[in-house]
Amino acid sequence: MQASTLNRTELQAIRRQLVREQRIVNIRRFFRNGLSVVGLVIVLLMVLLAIFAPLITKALGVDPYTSLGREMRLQPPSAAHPFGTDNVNRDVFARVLYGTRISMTVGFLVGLLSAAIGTTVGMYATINAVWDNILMRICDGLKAIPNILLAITLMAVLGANIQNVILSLTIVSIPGVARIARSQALLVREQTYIDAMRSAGASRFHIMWRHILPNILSPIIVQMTFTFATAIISEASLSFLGAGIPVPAPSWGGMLKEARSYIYNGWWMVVFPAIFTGLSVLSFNLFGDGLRDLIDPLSGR
Amino acid sequence: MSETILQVKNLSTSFRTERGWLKAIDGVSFHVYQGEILGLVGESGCGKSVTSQSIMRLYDEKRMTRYQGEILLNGKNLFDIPYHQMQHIRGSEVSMIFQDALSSLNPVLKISDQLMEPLRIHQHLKPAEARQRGIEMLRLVGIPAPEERMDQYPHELSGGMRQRVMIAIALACRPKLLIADEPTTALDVTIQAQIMDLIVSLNRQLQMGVMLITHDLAVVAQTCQRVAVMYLGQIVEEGAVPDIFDRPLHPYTQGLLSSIPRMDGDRREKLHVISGTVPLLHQMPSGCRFAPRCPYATDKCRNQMPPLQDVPGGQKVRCWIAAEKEASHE
Amino acid sequence: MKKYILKRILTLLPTIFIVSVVIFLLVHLTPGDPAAMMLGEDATLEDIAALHTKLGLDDPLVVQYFRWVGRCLQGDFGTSTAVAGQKVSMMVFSHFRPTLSLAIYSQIITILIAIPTGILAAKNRGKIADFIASVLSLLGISLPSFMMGLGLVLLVAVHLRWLPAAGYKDLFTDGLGPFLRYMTLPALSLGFIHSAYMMRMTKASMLEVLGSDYIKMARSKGVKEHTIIGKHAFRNALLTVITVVGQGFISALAGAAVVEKLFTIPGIGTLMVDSIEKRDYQVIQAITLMIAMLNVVINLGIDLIYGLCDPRIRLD
Repeated sequence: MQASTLNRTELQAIRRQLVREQRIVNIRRFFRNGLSVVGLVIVLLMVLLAIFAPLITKALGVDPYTSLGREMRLQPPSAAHPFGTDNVNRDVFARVLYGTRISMTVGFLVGLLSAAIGTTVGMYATINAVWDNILMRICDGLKAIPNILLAITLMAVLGANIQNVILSLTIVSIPGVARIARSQALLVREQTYIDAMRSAGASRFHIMWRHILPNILSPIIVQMTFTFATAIISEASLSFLGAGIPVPAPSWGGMLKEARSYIYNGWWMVVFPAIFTGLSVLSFNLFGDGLRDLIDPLSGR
Repeated sequence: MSETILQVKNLSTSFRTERGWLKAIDGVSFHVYQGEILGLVGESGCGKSVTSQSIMRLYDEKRMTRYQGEILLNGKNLFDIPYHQMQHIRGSEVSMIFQDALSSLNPVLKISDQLMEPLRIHQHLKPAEARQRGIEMLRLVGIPAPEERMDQYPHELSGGMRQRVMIAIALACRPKLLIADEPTTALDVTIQAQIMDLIVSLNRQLQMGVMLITHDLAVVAQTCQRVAVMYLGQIVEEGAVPDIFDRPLHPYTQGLLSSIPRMDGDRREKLHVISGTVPLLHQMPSGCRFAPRCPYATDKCRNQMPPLQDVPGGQKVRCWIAAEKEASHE
Repeated sequence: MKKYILKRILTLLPTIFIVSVVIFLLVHLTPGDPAAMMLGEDATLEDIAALHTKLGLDDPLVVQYFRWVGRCLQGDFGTSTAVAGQKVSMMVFSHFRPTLSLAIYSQIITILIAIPTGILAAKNRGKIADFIASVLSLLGISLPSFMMGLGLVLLVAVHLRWLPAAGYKDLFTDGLGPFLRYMTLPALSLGFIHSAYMMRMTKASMLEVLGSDYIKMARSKGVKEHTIIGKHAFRNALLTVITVVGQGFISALAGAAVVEKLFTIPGIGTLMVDSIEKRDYQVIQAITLMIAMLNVVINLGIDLIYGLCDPRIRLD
């Protein structure tokens, strides 16, 4: 029998074929997992609501800030005011809709900023052991303080406004991203082609941003969708405690704080902001789950 | 010849995957006599382990797995009994030992716990009796100071000792059939020989049938009476060990045999490699499964699946060309 | 054993150091002058300067840090700037019991919900139990604890009128009955979130264990299915679950702020939130430090339990 093996180009062709098949299986899997698609649709819907909130409210002739007059205090849902009115005679629908803008802005900026900073920190931690140790100890230290507590403390110190909410939630989210980026970057660095490039004289900057970053991006993006979800929860919690977005801005958490006092005679003040918060967090989580299954089918579930 | 303990007839096992049902083994038939060691050999991924675990019905039948065919253990078809009844058969009539003793022994339970379990389940022994029998079993498999070993955890033993413990657990209830799935692959060479000697001597002492799964033909040559060669989920050749080693009929068996390094051979001669790689299960060729790698393949081979047929001399082979040639010799 | 504990404690020192530095800096970099705040609006510049020297606020930051650590080690967390003359340690201590009892109660509920459902979901993968568990766990992960709480209040307290909507009854002074009546809703809303996570982890580790070789070996010995789950699998999965229980306790303490505020329970969470409004940074600092340290200690405890449960970890 003739001893021979497949040649290089044949192997590469098989490999490409397998990669292509896997990609199709992945996409099919994402869409077959109906929940992730539902998640994606709601996410898109929320984003659209946030963008077009002023147009929608204008078309309906309502406004999140103006009082509708004393006789309109605590009115249950009606055709004119589908979500009812609150204790200071404002339209709850308009406020919930504007709340979408706040939540989406906070979620998006916190997700993006913490991903950018966390990835940079995690990637550069792999340069040498000393740096790695220092940065990771700092991350451990920050993680030892429970997230919500650290966020409350930061807000107490910084003062309650939307910039500070974004800042503190970003600080709180960085260690998690940095950990993931670091472990992923370490895996990539162990691969032989990085050694080959280094010995060929490629600069550290070049290797870092052109070769390691693209390879660690997918878990970071998945983490970003989860950060997005937790940031919405945290912002709502902070505002609920009065340490987040200050009144009269229509944040969902702040609305729930108000609603707490009227729980016996204004259920609509509780229910609608709560449904929006829950729904948006849920959909980001579902979407994130779907994304994670794409890159790592074995994890989760 | 002595009594047949296990007869596998036309066994197929399919698994559900994202790409649909996938047949991991397809129409496997063989048998094991009492007191003999049957070797089941083949490359990794050819379905040896699937065959053995199908005999024990270890796969998740509710969702993932579909069996076809018959498995006759002492004449009784295991697929006829309800799944939950299998637990009375496993460990008492058929036992199994696995490749990696470290991962096959429960890390948080003491040796005594794991060794006494089958005795207590199947023979309903009291703890003290079970312990006594356990110690006897450890002595039988050649473990020194068995009383002390009983109270240790798996990680406190050496690799060879762990394998002996696993054999002791499997044989505690004196099963009529032992399935040994690559029992020595994870061990050092010297320990490998000791464990194989142990299995052979226990096979003689206890007069049980042994189904030895391995990819190591040297082991087969030293220990087995008969051998079945598997390729891609099918048996391609079967017969007595001396016959097959003397006169392999299937090109695949020929390839396997010529890839064993020989001490007495020409050192300058390169080791033999069977050309090509194993095709993926979901892109199986329609004819003979070995045809894409076979140097003698004809159009008939590529289009028509050869059956496993008896040839004069007692061997069985799944190959158009070899069967024809053997028949014409007569 | 002693050596093992000592080694673990040594590895924790850097974390403890960082935590203390972070918390120290957080409060010390606060805009505003604590001396001026303590003395009120009609204080003279001289008074403020004098208090500065008295409090050591003019010393370098490093000196101030070590002085603060030294005092904290003696249990002295300073005096409140909002309630004149009140020791912070006393304030925290007097608010601690409600929080602790709530946290423990919520953990019991969490464990009772999560572990059985997790095991069931792992055992019957793809069946209804698994589906319900997945839905519950998704809800748990997506609902902030105060929303869970508001929902429960709306349903159980306002609509069904079964349990009171808010208030606190102490286990020791008021008895078990009133305690359960008042604390069940808060404990549920605090525990639900974490039970989702614990359920996921229980299911995942059970699945991992159930796929292992030693479970296959146990099956091949003829062990009954429920013995496999209870004896062979759960003992191994327990190792992961212990970790999650510890994390759950900490998250119950940390999440108490929101739930206590919602149910008007006079615990450290309420104290902390009230202190934000009063700008009483000493109290915030003390509570954050205490919970962070508790976190570190509980993690150490988990490690030790782990070492006791898993024979593979050597304790010497």
